[in-house]
Amino acid sequence: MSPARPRATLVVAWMIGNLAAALPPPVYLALGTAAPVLPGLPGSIVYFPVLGLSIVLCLLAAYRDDEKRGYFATCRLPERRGDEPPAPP
Amino acid sequence: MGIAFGIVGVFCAGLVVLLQASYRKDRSFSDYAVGGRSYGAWLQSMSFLNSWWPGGILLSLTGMALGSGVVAFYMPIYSLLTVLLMYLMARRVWLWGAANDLKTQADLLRLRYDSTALAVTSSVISVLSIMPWLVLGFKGLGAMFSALSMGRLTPGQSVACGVALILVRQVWTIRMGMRGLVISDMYQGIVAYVGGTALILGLIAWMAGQGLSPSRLPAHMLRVPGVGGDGGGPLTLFSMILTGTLGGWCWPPIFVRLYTADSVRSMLRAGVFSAPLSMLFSMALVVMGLMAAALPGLHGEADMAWFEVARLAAGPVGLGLAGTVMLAATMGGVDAIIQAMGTQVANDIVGAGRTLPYRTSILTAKGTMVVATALAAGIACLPIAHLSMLALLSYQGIIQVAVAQYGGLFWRRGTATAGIAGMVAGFATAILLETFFHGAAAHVGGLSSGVIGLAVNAATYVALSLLAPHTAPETHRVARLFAGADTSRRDTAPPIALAQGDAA
Repeated sequence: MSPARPRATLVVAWMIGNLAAALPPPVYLALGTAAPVLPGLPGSIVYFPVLGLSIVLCLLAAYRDDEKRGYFATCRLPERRGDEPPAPP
Repeated sequence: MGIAFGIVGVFCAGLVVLLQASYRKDRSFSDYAVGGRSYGAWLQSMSFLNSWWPGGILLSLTGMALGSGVVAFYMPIYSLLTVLLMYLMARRVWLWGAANDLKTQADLLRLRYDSTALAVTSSVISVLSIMPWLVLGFKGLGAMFSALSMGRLTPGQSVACGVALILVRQVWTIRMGMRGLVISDMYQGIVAYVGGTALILGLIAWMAGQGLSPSRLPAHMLRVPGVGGDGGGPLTLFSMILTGTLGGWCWPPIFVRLYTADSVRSMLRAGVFSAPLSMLFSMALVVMGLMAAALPGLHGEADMAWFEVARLAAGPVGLGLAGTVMLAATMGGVDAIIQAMGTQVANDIVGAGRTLPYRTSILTAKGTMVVATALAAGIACLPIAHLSMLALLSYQGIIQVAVAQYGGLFWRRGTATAGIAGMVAGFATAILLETFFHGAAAHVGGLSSGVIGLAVNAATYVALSLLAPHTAPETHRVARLFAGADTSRRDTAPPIALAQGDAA
């Protein structure tokens, strides 16, 4: 079976971007503030839901990419040869 | 009161009918422990949600948002990052699991490190760490009965009612094992997370109609800790999110979900497809808590805001719906914990390093489940003041399994001795800091005891692995093990089987 192509660079970058937006203190300290970024909406109320949405969309994109590149077809146990014993219980 | 309990009763009746109709005899311990690895994505999704979001979240997350503000968003964020982490480890975990009939987290550690001692150490830490969450689950049900009875039941009576309900429910959990758990998770999940999200959005709409808005909260509630010197240091949120993200897969009842899937595709599909509902449910819950902060009289009992807002909005019907959602969410979490404890004790502690006969395994698992349920129920009926602190401490403890677990999955040089030493050092560090130096976090930029323990753990693990590396045969065995996970990609030799006995 041919190996699947690597995960799309955009998807990998998106995953790293989400981690970079969630974990480093300079990011959340800058964005998670009370100052309004939209009329009536504090920065923190925008930052967290947008980050959450980004992670969800990234996951969907990663799954779709995995389907397209045939990744799941490679995630199976190999066929056992006739002369080999089964794995112990 | 009758209306509220009546709505809950309808939910319970539906669950009993479903479980009775779904009963099927297990053919093996693997069937009992992981449901024969036969569950597709939809069942997996609901099962994952039911384990991930226990009913107590409806109280604690709402209460946290009401009392502490936007910092409560940390929980939805780390919950989603946990799914992202699953993408990195799903393939290897599932393939090793399927090839070697792994049933638990400890099985994986035993396979990877060829060490029963390490597997038993992690199992003991897990069982100890998760017990407070079981007790909190029972106490949450007590809160439900107290709220639905509108104060007519005393706190002790309320907890006893909640415990009794779960004990009756356990008849099916103990009888049916993982199969019963997954089937009931589906029903409970739809009620708790689909129905629950609808209820939360309805309550938000009601509060918006009353003129309430999170944007009107005081500034300190609308900024993250560390900004302007409020409520922690600059590393507080980092600690909270990191602990949750890494610790998520360290919980045995969560980890075992990886082994109930019928394929890697189902596993990832379940995570991905549950993510939107998980996000909507949890973020809406935080927004609800933020808006409820403006309602008079809730700050004194912030943890009861879930029921109080529902009562204010829709009277006994609102209470009944809120109680039903909570019960549905709690049952799944409690079931998962009890099931995991039973399997762990039978498979990882009593059965450590040997294969127990099927009947012995089942009896040991079921016996453990009975004892754990009774013990947690008894403790939940006691007026324990600091159980919440125990639960928080337990989270700082369970993440100490993370280094050995993720290190074992991604780094071939990690050794069993290093894993054990790291876990013990990290766990001891976290407990010492929490017990004797509570509040010291402010002096290290807001880092939690768990993260500091994790650093000690990781440093110990890496140092010992490099200073006392694998023997040549062990290096070869680990290389073959890792190659086995790539076998289906490269179509070479089949994966190595789990070695019997302890070679460490």
